[in-house]
Formats: sequence, C-alpha cells, structure tokens
Amino acid sequence: MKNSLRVLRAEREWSQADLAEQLGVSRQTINALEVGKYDPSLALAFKIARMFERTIHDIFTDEEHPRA
Amino acid sequence: MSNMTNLLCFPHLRRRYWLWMGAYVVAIMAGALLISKPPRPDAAHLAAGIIPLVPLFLALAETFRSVRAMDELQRRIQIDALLLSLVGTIAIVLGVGILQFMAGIPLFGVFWLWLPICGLYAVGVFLGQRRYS
Repeated sequence: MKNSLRVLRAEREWSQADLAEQLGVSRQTINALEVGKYDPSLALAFKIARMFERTIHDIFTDEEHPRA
Repeated sequence: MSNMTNLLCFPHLRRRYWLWMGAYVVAIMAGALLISKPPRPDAAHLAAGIIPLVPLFLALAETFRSVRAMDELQRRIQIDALLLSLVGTIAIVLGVGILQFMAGIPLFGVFWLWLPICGLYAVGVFLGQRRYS
C-alpha cells in the first residue's frame, strides 16, 4: 500500500517524532509507514486521516486496486 | 534495539517485573536452604518447588501488560518473535526427541528449554527490528 504521509507531514513541517507523539505511536512506526514497510491498522489509518483532515482514500492507495 | 521494542520498555512495568523476579529468586534460594536433601515428593518439598512459581507468574504478567501498552508495530514485532520462538522450539523439541529415539543421544532436562525459547525470541526481535527500520 502506498501513502502520502511523508508529503502531508512535510507540508506541516512536522518531524517524524512530532507526528508519532500526536498519534501515540513510536517514531519507528511512522518511518515504517512512510517507506511502505508497514500497513497500518484501520484504527490507526482513521486516526491519521482525522489528523490530516483527509479521508483514508486520500492518504492511502491500494496498489493492486487503485481507484479510477 | 529501539526502546519501544523491549518487552519491558515502560519504567513502572520494569520496576514491578524486577520486583517479582527478585521475589522469585529469593523464594528459590529460601527453598533450597530450608529444605533438606535428597529431593522427595512430600508436602514441604512440593511447596518449596511450587511457591516460587507465584512471583514468577506475576513477573510474566508484567510482560503481557507491557506488550498491551506498545503501539501496533511494536506489538507485531513482539508477536512475530514469540511465534518464531514457539515454532522453533517445537521443531527443536521434536528433532531432539527423534534423535533420542533413533540415535540414543543423551536426554536433556526440561530446564534447558529456556535456551531455544529465549534465543529464538531474541533472533525474532532482531529480525523484526531490521525489517521495519
């Protein structure tokens, strides 16, 4: 799964540690999400979407079934 | 290794864990000092063997609390490592059992199971850390 987490975070000038603290996860989790090594749970994906005021679909893209 | 990935990464849990592990060691030593040899299955000897299990289970309960307090990636790393430890230990036990049956290699005590359990768990955490870093 691809995501635009790094771009959204950079737009707000947040460090990985800042975002990790706001989401209540470790910095390692943010890094793993950004480089695509880890797909978040639905609960975390919703939390991320709420934080950036976007929908989950705006942030995460299913590479096997991309939206038209 | 990331601090978050340590099973006992939270100070209050770590304190309680070492408190119960200390009680476990004291109970073992007290039992060994107070109980006469040789070992036999009477009430006093059985109590000396069973009582230390109480603080040991309390210490192990702290590890569960610690895992529950982790974030989802850290929990995944821990669960994958524990799964590797479980599956690997089963394979080793079966392998050694067959070797004992077929080739007559010496019997090992159950006590030594901590070696593959802890060793494979450590390998699992290391691999998980590397995979997600």
